[in-house]
Amino acid sequence: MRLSCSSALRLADLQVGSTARLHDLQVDPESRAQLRALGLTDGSMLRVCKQGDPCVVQVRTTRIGISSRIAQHVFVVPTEGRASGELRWR
Amino acid sequence: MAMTATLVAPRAAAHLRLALVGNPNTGKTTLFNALCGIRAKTSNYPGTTTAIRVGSSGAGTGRALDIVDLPGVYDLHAGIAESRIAADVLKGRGTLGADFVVIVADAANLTRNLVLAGEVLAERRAAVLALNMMDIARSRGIDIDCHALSRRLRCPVVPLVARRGEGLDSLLRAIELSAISASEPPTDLPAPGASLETLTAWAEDVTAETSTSPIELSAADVLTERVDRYLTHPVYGMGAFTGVMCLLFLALFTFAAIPMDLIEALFGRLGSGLTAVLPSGPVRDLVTQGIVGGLSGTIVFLPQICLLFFLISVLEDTGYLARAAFVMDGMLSRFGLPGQAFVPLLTAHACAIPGIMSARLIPNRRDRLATILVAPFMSCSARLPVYVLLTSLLFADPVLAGLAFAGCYLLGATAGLLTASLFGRTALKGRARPMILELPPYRVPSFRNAVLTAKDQGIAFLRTAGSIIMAICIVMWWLSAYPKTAVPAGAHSLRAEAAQLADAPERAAALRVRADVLQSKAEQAGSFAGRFGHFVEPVFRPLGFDWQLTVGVVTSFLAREVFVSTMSVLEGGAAGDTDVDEGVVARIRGMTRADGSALFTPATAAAALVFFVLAMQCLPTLAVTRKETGSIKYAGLQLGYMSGLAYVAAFAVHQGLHMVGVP
Repeated sequence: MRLSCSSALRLADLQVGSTARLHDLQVDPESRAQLRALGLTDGSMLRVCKQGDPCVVQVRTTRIGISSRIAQHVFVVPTEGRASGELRWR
Repeated sequence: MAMTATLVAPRAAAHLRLALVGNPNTGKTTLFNALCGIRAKTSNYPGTTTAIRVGSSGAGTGRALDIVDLPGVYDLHAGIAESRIAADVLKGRGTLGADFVVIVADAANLTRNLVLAGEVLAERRAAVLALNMMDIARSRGIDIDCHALSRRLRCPVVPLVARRGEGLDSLLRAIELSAISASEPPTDLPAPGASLETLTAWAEDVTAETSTSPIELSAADVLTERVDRYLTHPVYGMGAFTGVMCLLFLALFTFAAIPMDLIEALFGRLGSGLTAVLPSGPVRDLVTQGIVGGLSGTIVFLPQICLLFFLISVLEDTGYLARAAFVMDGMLSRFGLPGQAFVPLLTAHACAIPGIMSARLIPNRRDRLATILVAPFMSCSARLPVYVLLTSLLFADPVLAGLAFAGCYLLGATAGLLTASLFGRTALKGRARPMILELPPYRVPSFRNAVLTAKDQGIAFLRTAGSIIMAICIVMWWLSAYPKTAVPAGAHSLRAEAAQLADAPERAAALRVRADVLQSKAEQAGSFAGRFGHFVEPVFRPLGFDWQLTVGVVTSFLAREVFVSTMSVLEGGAAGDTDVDEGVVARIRGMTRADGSALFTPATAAAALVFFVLAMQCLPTLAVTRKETGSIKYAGLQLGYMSGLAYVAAFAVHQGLHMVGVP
């Protein structure tokens, strides 16, 4: 799999409780549209609530269950702390 | 524009058509129910299988309101049917084109909901933003300045708690006012067709300007997260799911039995009442056996269907269904079915028809087709009396009979899953699409929503299946009652003998009963159905079936539960026997073949049981499959595949048991 950013990780490899910024959705168009509609647009912030199958992430106040087969192909850049106002869960 | 104008249905000027639009899980349906109550109709959007609810409300406004409840969508340009329908209605196109829009938004989820609101406002329709679930937002510490939001969006903003009816009056007033004076949309709104990123940036800006929220996660979030970890866990989640399903089925079979018995008793009374009133002849037979039988045979399924949808609505409202779908996804995806298929497959255990209809909630077409094709393998309640009869014939011990009965359910479900897997490699190439689903917050379910869902689904069932089942019952009655055969000589002589026994009325009555039995047996054998049974008997001979059992199978092709009464008639009992009691079992157990040997040997009963578990013997289901898939091809595949599999499996069981020495 091609990675344009060296610090991007697979969503499935992130620790529970960590936060990250969405980098790339390398999934089928239908799944991509669905994830984007739920709020996972380019650069959006997410928090990992649960790993495994399903992987559960929170984007603002929306909790999204994602099959692990999809979470393998979602690439994110981990962020440090939650000092910035962007991380308000609303 | 002229084109659009002609498409809009003419309506009284006093009527105002309002569309409710919003994300899924925003309480849109709760608001619709609160506004319209029971005065709502569900029908398919023209040219699609997407159900749309339309209702009316006169409360609080000078003008009558027609309200259209659009399907929940996240954005208007998602390229799915629901989004296209919502966009059409909002643009005022089609027969349901709206004059006016209420955007229902979840106050606890403002940014994401504003994305859709932005798209709707860009359509330049008169609109009101209904900010629902204010109580949840407040409990999360979110504070929204509705006046500031209203100024920024240039449309009225009404805070609501639709579940408790709070804010409905203000909403109706806002609708009344805005309908007269629609204002211009905000100038900073992204242009129509803007990317989701642009819309999101705008929505984030609006949220930041008009609301404040805590930086830390709320206690509710922490709790939800902890509960989710268990409920979506592969082991604990499966345990919880099994427990919930056991409770659901227990409730279903316990509580539905009461109205079902009542309905059967009522129609039994009606039938005998009409028999007494009407003069004897073909008209009376048609009314009492064909029409009353058909009505009873349709309505008897209603309690289970309504109760099942009531319970599913409760589960959905609590937020549990989304978690359950993920638990099932792990298992179902191995067979090429999506996690969402569990609701249709569950429903199919009551009746395949609502099961197939509820497959609409599966977004992907391939996944939906796979689910529809295997749904009829689930053991529906029409198979129940047949299972009871055949398992009691097979095992005298009630414990063994009970185990065999449970085995039938397991066999049906297993066959369905393996079939889905097989179709995934052949007719419907590909795997089930991995699931992505919003996990809504846990909530107390709404009793009102559940009752209205049950009512809607009950009506949908009667409308879809009622007329077909009714027609089939009448045709079946005709096929098994005509042509009329001559009264057999044996019955004549028995009656003559009885006439001479004037001094022994009891013996005379017994002789007359024997004469009636002989006559009804001759009539059954001589009818079209009976003759057809004789004709196709060679086909079923390898399964150990004789002509009588073949007639039973042939008549039950159109409705399975007919099997018990057909066998009862062939044995010589009363035509009205549909309940499986000990007397019926004992009499059918005593049935013999033409050569005088027992008909229901263990091998034959087992083969018949397997046949009934697997065979497609329900014409109404085929009609619904055709309608929902839009092609007769899939109905044909269902019929051919299931019946073929049933034949082969029954053959294997019969021959296999013979080989190991079972008679």
